[in-house]
Amino acid sequence: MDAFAKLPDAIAELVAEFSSTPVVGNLNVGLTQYSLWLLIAGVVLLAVIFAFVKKQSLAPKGFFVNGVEWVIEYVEDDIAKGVVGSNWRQHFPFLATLFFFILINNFIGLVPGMKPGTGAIGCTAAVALVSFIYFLYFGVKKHGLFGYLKSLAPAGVSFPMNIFVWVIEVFSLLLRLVTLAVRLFCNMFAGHIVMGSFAIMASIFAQPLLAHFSAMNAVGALPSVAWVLILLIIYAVELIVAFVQAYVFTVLSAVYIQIAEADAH
Amino acid sequence: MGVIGYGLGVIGAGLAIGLAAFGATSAMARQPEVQGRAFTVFILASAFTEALGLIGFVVTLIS
Amino acid sequence: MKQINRATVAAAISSFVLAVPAQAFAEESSNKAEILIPKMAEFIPALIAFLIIWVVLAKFAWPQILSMMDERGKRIQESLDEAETTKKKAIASRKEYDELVTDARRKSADIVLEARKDAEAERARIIEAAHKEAEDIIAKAHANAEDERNAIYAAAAASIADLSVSVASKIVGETLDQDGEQRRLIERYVKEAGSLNA
Repeated sequence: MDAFAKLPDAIAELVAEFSSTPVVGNLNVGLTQYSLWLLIAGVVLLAVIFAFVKKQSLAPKGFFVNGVEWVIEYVEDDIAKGVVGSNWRQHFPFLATLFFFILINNFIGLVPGMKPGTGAIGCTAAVALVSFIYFLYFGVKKHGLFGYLKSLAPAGVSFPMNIFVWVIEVFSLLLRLVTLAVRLFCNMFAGHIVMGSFAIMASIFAQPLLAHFSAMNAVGALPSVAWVLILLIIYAVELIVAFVQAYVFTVLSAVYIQIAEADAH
Repeated sequence: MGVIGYGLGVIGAGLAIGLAAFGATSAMARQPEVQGRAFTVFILASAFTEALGLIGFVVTLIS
Repeated sequence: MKQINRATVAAAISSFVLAVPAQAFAEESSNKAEILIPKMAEFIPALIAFLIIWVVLAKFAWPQILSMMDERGKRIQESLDEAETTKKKAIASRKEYDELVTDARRKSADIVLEARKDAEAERARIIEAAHKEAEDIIAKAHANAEDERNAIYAAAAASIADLSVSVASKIVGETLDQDGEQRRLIERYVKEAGSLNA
């Protein structure tokens, strides 16, 4: 099979496309293609939210207002009220911003030809760091620095063991930062790699047929129909994943805030 | 080698997420009124489990 | 660069790993993890962008949206309460009306009953009066008839007595004393005969 021989090179090319390359400046100072799309997504987000604020009324009308309202209510009821609890009003602005920022970035990435702002570890690490510092700040604010450090270890564990548990807890606390960033990045990255691979496979198998029409080439191009079908299914799954990842990131942040502010550990 | 190790590691994470989904769906079937709460807990459990799989992914890339 | 790419593909889609295992293993190297190291060119803009968006939205968007939602919830609650009170009021007035209607109905029934009683009494009275009158008339008629008959008897007795006296005087040949002893005798006889016949 000719097509299979071409595959590794094509996919290597695809992946090379996915690694960060600077558009302006270099990798240390400047903008890569991901940060560019992230900024575009930020502008889109601001436009969407302010358009919503302008159009919002006591009786919501139209698909746009109702849709955005539904999502905001979902964040409010399910994440803010459901997880954070009584003082959800204080944390709602952060959680809602987080959710919509990630959601818009994920969906922007799903438009063919565009990149997700959350598809690079640098961007997700920045968001995760903000979330990390946010819940640390509120934990320290509630319990005081020493009190918060002490509250990490569960109460009711005897002396030598609780230091051990405390070290593990601190380690898992730091791991939260890493997992938040890596989870979002890996989901976006892997999803786009898979979609790109199936798109490439479809085009490689169909290429001989486009170049020269013959019965042999037509039979050879049959698998590309299957690849396109799989691509469509994966695309649908990615639409769900885009939503779920934004939800997971926000819910986990909310849970961390709730744990940090909880009275007794 | 790393890829094979990752594949082996993902078996565990996959089983864990499957178990979480099983528990969540049976909980929802038995008590549909706790659906929202069960779903949140399921997402959290999956996220923690997924973190293990992702650690495997990272280790694969680093080693 | 290519090495990283191979490795990531391998991790991401194992089906392709099977197709290119040799290359993937051959090109393992130390800078594979590069894709997991945050680049400053992505980290800093993302951080700044997110912070700016957060501040802007927290200042200008979310408070308005939340207050609008609260306002809506309050309005809905208010209109629900209002509907509840209106309903209660409606039920109360309905009860009142019902009571009124029942009262009126009872009253009208009473009135009808009373009227009927009155009519009954009136009717009884009228019938009674009519009976009395009829009885009076009949009694009067009876009395009249008696008088008439008595008069007729008296007249008949007198004429019979006269006739008998004249017949007897013709037979006896002598005039019987008109107003004498005989006449009284005959009259007594006729009276006895009349009372026997009567």
